[in-house]
Formats: sequence, C-alpha cells, structure tokens
Amino acid sequence: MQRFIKHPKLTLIILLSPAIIFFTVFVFATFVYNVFLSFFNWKGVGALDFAGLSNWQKLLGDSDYMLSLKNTTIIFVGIFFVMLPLAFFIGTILAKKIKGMDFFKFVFFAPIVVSSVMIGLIWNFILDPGNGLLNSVLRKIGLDFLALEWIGGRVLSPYSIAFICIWQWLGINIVIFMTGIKAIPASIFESAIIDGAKDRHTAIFITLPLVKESIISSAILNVAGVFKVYDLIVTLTSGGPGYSSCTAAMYMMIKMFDSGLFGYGSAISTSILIITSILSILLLIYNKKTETYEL
Amino acid sequence: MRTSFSLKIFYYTVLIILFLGIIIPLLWLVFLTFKTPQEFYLNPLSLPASPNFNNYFSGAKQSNIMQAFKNSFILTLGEIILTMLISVPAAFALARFDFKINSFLFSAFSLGVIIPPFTAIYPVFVVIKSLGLVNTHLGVIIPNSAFMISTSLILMVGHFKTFPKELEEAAFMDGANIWRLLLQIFIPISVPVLATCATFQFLGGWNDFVFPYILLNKNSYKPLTVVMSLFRGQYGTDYPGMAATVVMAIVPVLIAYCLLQKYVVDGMTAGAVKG
Repeated sequence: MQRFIKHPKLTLIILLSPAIIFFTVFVFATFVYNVFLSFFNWKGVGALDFAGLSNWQKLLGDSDYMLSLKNTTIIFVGIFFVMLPLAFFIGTILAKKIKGMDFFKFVFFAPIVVSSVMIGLIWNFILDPGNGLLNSVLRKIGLDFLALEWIGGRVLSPYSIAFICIWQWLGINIVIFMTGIKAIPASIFESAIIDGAKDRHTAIFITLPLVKESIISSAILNVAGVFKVYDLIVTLTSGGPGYSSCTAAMYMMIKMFDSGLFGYGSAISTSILIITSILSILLLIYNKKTETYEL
Repeated sequence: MRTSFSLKIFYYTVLIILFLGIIIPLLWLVFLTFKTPQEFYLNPLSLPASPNFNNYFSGAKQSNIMQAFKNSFILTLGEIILTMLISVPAAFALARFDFKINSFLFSAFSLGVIIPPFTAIYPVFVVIKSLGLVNTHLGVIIPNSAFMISTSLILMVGHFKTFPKELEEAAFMDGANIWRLLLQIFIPISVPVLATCATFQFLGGWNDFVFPYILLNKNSYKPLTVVMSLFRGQYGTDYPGMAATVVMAIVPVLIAYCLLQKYVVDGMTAGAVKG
C-alpha cells in the first residue's frame, strides 16, 4: 500500500490519530488516572490529600465491598454454571436443520437489545413481592408459602438478579455457540453417526471440543458482562436494602457519586478492572494450553 | 443428517418452554398497560373490564418523555456519526498498511472490549468538565464513541482485510489517490459491515445509561434510559402507568430489531466471536 502514496507516514498519522487520541484519553488514561487517584483522599474539591495505601487497606477490610463481591460472584456462578451449559445445549438444537429454528433464535435473542434499565423495570412488575405476576399466580394456585420476597428483601435479591441476567444474556450466548457449531463440517457428524454415535454423544465428544474457541470468547464476554451489572440494579432494587443487593459496580458508583469518596471509589474501580483482567487472562491462558482442533 | 421423531419432540418441548420464559414477562408488561391502577390493586391477574389506553395517553402527555425521546435520538445519532468518522479511517489504516506497531495497536484497541465503561466514569467526568462539556449532548457523545471504537474496529479491520491487494493496485494504476480509494471503493463495497457496526452503535447509544446519568444533570438533556431510571421513585406504585411508558420506550428498539435482525445479531455477537 505505502509505495503508491506520496506521504505514507503523514497519511498513516492522519488516518489513525483520531482513534488513538480518543481511545487514549477516554479509555486508557482513565485507567491510569483511577490507579493514581486510588492513592489519594479526595472529595471532589480542594487539594489532593496523599493517602498512601490506606484506601486499599480500607477496601480489604470493607465488609460491604466484600458483600458486593459476593453478590457479583453469585451472578458469576449463575452465568458460568447455569447459563453457559444451557446456552450450549440450546445452541446445539438451534444449529440443527429442523423447522422453526430461525424463529426461536429471533425470540431468544430479543432481550439483549432492550436496555437493562427497562429490563429492571419489567422484572419489577414480575418479582414485586406484593403485586408482581409471580407471587399473584402463586397465591392464586394456593402456593402462598412459595410467594417469597424475590426482590426488596435481604436474602433473595442477588439470586433474582442472577436469574434476570441469565434471562437477558442467554440468547446472545446461544447465537455465539450456534455460529461456532454451524462452522463444523457436516461430514464429521455424519461419519460419527455411521459409527453409531447418538446425538448426545456427538454433542459432548465432537461439538464441545470443536467449539472451544467460541466457549472461551463468550466466557470472556461474560466476565466483562458480570462486572458491568449496574443499570439493571438501579431500576430493580437500587442496591438495597442497605448494600445487600449491590454488585461491585453498583457499590463503586454509590461510594463515588453518593458518598463523594473519589479516592476510595477509584480504588474499587481499579480493583474491578484488575479482577476482570486476571479472569480474562486466565481464560486466554487456558485456551492456549489446551488443544485446539483446526477445522 | 436426520433427527428422529421422538428427539424432535423433546427438542421442541425444550424450545417452547424457553420461548414462554422469554415471552411471558413481555406479555405481562403489555397486559398491565390496559388496566387502570384500581383494577391492578384489586386483582393484578384479572382481565381489564374494558381495554383502556389512558395509560399510554397520560404517559405520552408527560412532556419530559417526548423530550427524552428526542435526547436519546440526538445522542445515538451523534455517537453513530462520530464513531464512524473515527473508526473507518483507523480500520482502513490497520487493515491495509504495513507498519511496525500495526498488530500491537490492533490488540490495544481490542482490549477495550473488556473494560467496563463505568470504571472510567469519574476520569471521564473530569476530562469532560475541563472541556466545559458537562450538560451538553456532545459531552456524552464523545466518551461513548471512544468506548465504541473497539468493537467497530474489530468488525471493520477483519472485513477490510478480506479484499485482495490487486484491488488497491488497480485503483492506483487508474490514478486514484488514497482518499478516493477509501471513499469510492472501500466504503461502498463494505456497506453491509458498516451497517452492522451502525446497528451495534445504535443499540449501544440508545441503551447507554452510565455516561448520560453522570454527565447530564439538567432534565431537559436527559435521554430515555436516565428519565426512566427515576421512575421507580416518581410513579410510586402506579405500575400500569409505568408499564405503558416502558412499552413506548422499548418499541422503537424492538422494531429496529425486527427490521434489521441480521445486522443486530451480527453486531452484538461480533465483539465476542472475533475478539
């Protein structure tokens, strides 16, 4: 390309600099600034007050922060051990040449296009302990003892949040798996079936190893997704009562913008980025270490 | 490959259960909107005595909802335009030029996919404030576009790389310069991928919450997501009224999804599959 252009370097700079500038200022520099600010106490006005490691020490002993991490872990477990296997299973079905699969794919995918703010409001109408759909139906059919405090209480909210995340993200993960499965040549399945393999055998011994890349990339997407859970909670429980249904993201936003503790908020935010990066890197290492089959 | 009849029954049963699980919450939402608040409190499950559209009318009458629609529209459109202006040239350079830090730059941009935007919100606020852009649409459009660069680049670079070298050579032989090559050849033949990117940016912009929530505190600038997030307190427990507004807010997105299904699905899954 370059040999056809009069000023290759200048052209390259013109093409790339807007992206580099925007990305550096708003994405990379923000990370550096967060790390920097986490070593200071700052309330938004006045001079920066150097705090050394105190914000970080405070973080490790902060039981509310630990609770928010525990809630995030509940969502994480739901997504990784319930949603991913389910998405893989449904993905194998939708990849088959049976009638109506496009329609199901269309419907399953829909929740992800709706804003989490709206999803939170919609699930209010269902999980509201008093007038929500779920408890109204349970009372109607005489199962009053099951009409629990799904949201708004101290115990069940994180589990309800995990359930809603599964509801919202299942479709997109199904599509990711389905795309991966469809890329596998049909001849592989055919020869397995001639050898007497059943559907469940081909799914576990052929499809699963061959879509490993799809599984890892959707796992990484979901790690980032779990730590982004914030908008949903704003309209579902506002993190309450107390901090009982806060995720790490929600807790950070509260500390920063409601309590005005910018240094401490930056420490939380940095810790979230560190955890997300470590989990993503571990997944990538796992991907490299295990065998990948070329199709 | 044929699937046996009994297995088909099993598959359809699973799919239909899941279908109901996805669709019932949405049907309940629509059902609520036809009831009066009184009917709802007496018995949430009862059928409305007569279909009642008042909830929609009173929702639409709230002037801040119409203003919020307009704001969401301005923000989303601005974000699509700015992200395109930044990403298309960069993707062109990364895909078609050989230079030392090419693959390093691409990896660096790709990392953006895993960074949760809310972790950047305070530093972004500081930058936007120093530029004097707090409480302006541009102040939200700029940082949000910056966060959309990653996915857009992943999609576009992959696509731009698929064209043969002969394409550029032929264009240069015919006397085109680099700008004509980009504007009159690469962009026109990449319309489907650019549409996928635009759809992804549309959804990201329309559904965005964190940036406008923190960067806009004047009511007249707030987009739908932010206005709606305040509803729980504002409406109290007028669920039918709230439901009607939610329906109005999500209908545009669902229509866009129905019309542009392929682009939406490709755009949303792109970051995951190619990242």
